[in-house]
Amino acid sequence: MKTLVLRTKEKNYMLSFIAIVIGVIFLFPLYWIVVSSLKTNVEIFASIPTLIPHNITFSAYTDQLTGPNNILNSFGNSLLIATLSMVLSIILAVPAAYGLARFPMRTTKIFIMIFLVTQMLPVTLILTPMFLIYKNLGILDTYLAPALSDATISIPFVILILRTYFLSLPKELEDSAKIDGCSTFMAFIKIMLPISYPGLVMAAAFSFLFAWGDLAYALTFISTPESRPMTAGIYNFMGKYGTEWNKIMAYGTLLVLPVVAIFVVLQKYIVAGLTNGAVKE
Amino acid sequence: MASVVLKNINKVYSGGNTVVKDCSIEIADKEFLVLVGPSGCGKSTTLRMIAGLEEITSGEIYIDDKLVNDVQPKDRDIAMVFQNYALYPHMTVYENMAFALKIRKMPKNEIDDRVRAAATILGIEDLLERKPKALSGGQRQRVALGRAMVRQPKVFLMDEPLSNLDAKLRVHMRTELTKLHKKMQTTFIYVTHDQTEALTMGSRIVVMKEGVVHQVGSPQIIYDQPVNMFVASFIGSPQMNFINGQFILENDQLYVCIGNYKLPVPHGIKKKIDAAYFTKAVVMGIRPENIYDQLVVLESFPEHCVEAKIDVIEHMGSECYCYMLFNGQQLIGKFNGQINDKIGDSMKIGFNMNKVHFFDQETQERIIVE
Amino acid sequence: MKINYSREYLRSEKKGFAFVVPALLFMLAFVGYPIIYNFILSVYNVDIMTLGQQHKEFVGLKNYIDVFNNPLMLISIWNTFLFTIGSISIQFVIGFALALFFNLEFTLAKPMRGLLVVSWMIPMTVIALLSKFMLSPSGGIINQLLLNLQIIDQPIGWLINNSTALWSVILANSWVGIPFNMILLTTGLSNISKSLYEAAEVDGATSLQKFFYITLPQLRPAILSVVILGFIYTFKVFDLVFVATGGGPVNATELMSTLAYKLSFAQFAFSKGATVANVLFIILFVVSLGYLKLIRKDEVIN
Repeated sequence: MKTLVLRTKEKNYMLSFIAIVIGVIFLFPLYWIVVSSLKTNVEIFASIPTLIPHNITFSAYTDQLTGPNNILNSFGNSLLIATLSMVLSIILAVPAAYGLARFPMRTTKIFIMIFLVTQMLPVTLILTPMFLIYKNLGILDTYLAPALSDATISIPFVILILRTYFLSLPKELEDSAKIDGCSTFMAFIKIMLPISYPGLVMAAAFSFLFAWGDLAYALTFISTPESRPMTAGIYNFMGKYGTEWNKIMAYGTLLVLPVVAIFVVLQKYIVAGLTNGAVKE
Repeated sequence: MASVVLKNINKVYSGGNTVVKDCSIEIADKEFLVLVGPSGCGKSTTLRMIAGLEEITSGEIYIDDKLVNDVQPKDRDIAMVFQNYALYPHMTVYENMAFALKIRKMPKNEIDDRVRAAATILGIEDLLERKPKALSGGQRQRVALGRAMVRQPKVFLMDEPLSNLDAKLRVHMRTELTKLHKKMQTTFIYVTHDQTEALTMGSRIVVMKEGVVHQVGSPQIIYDQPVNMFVASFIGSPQMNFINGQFILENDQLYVCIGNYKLPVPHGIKKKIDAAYFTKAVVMGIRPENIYDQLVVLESFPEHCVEAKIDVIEHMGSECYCYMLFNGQQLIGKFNGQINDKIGDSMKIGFNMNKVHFFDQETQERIIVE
Repeated sequence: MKINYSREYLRSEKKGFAFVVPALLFMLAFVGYPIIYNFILSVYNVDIMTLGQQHKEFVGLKNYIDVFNNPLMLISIWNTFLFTIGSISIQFVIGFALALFFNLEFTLAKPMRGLLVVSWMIPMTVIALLSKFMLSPSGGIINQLLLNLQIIDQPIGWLINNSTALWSVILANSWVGIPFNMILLTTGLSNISKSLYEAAEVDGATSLQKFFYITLPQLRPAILSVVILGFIYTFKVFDLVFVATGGGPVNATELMSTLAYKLSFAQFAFSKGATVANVLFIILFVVSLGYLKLIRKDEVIN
């Protein structure tokens, strides 16, 4: 049987070409969001959609700058909630990951189990009780409520991934810090944290993005339109906009923007983070 | 018949890096050929090109007089033992050894015969149901060998198979492999960076450095007549001593002047040197074991004697290595038994001038022509 | 056998506790307690009317019986399973194919692969809205494409039709999950030593044989992880379906998660919502236990 033997260089080009085609097909939806947000009303309502807009306009954005659900306001709310959640997650999850990695405890396995299991909980499970609990605490309709609940999603994820990460760092670092006179906590803050900077960046990125994209908690806990983040905001106003897709896609673009920005900047870290903690525990 | 011929083989990587330069070797059927050289010399790459695991940039490879440049590894009828054994972790020892035969659709009983026969020769019959992770390094290595053996290939390729074993096991396996080669009567092509393995196992050695073949020959020839300073220094342990000197001719007697000493060169050697060198600066090479310290010898050949200062003594049990300072450079001598002198002492040593080598100072090539 | 722990061990253990306890307490307070609360809710009668009451009526398993008697519940269970299994099948097959493809050696392999991961990070809400837009019967690009290719002769309301709605959300969900599968399988692939393939090559294996005898067996732990993690994450999907179809049309895409939400926050029957959520949780819990058990077994073998 004669086999087609390609020279390496040609193989390279062909495979790269196929890869680009796959990339274009796969990422087309992203292109579509952005491009649609830049279309005029006329083009958007046309029965035959255009691949490349004939006229580019920012009216879909500028038309939404006022009103309680205006686009800037919602963006700001999302930013606030996501940042709050991220800070909370980092403060709690990073030490926990460190503790589980560096200090052998009889209950280590149980702790890991607990965090593993909480990762598998459906959001809707704790939605109802949290609603009632927050109501009783009086923090319904504040930024705190969704931030707290969003943190419950990112904390276990970050703990499990950072734990593997910390495990891979050499123990000699803390030992020499201790010899130099640091207490355990100081060694953690002054030595471990700076060195594990890539892991921390990744943890922060994940927690921010989880909270940024959350709908359920935001929708349930916040009822005042002015306080709603973008996810809940656009959901509630879908009816109002009907088929003004360019406006909806403008929302979508802004929602996606930080994600893509963070992703482009931190791509290496994110992919490494996923691969690090996932397969073999 | 399974000879292997390499003609002008070149391997250039896409960065422009030439890893194997113009390599031509003829390997006879049933030979045990060793490719030896320091890391990065291209020996493994050459082996992999013979196996078909690397593309040949230019040149030709013939196995059994057939051009195999474009032939897939599986069709070359070769077997390979990898440095890290590459045993299939999810299969038992038996399944590992049977795999190649199974995919060639060999009948079950024939596979069984071959696997058990090989297992018996290698002494691993008890391990057939185990998985690789339950085996020691030496056992895994033998399974890797077994996997190659059952194929009954035309050529056996081995890529540093002993380098992951501990020293004692390595010595044991060297003899085992030599015995195996005799038993199997097949061509072995063996890659190693260990010159001891090369000297003890090969029927012929190929010494390589930085992609270039420096010398091909039997172990004895390579040892006694190294073609340049690199080969001379690489083969033989401890390493050959190189001393800069100057030839002078006096009354038809050739001398090599080193520092204040004038050492006579035996006529037998002088005959083999081109007269143009008789006035030149040269490098004299002498192996540690050809340096004398016995009083008896020193008194018989006073003209071969020099004085050196002792720097370090390494006691090896039945012999000792003496690191000395002579004429501004270090000399290593291998002496039988113990020496009584201490560090810092001056001692008298003699050079066996019948066993010296001479090299051109610039080209580093041997100037003694046989 | 009582093990005596050295003082040093106990001291170090205490330090470990100190690091872990804050996160643990947080999770227990904001997750653990609500779970318990959820169970309590499901055995009481709590809805908008009884919310203000001091004493709520204990009804035992009545809520569970009521909920299972509701045909909607059974539909939602069926839909959830269909949604999950459909999604992970597609995600796995395509993710695996892509992992194999990007594992080949060519220049753009790593960057392209990294680029595709972005879809995993996009908020589900956006995906849902995008799906509605792209699948829209008027002005939706998908319909336009299919019309141009002459695969259909009239635009189809993918999300509005009973028969196509569920598969449409399955596809949208798969788009998000494919990179996740791909990356996990890629890690598994890269952990397979190249020399195994070379040994097989020399032994005479064809590409297909290499795939079945080396790639698949070596990938077993990664495949297990991917499938089970995929099942768990997909089973609990809420945002995507809620925004894209709201559970319709006519319950065609009603999942347990959307049903639970509607019961609690549209009908304010909090106890009933809690009940459905509990059933979801129990099913997932059982599957998770199965997963943990499988990993344990694998680790022992390894």
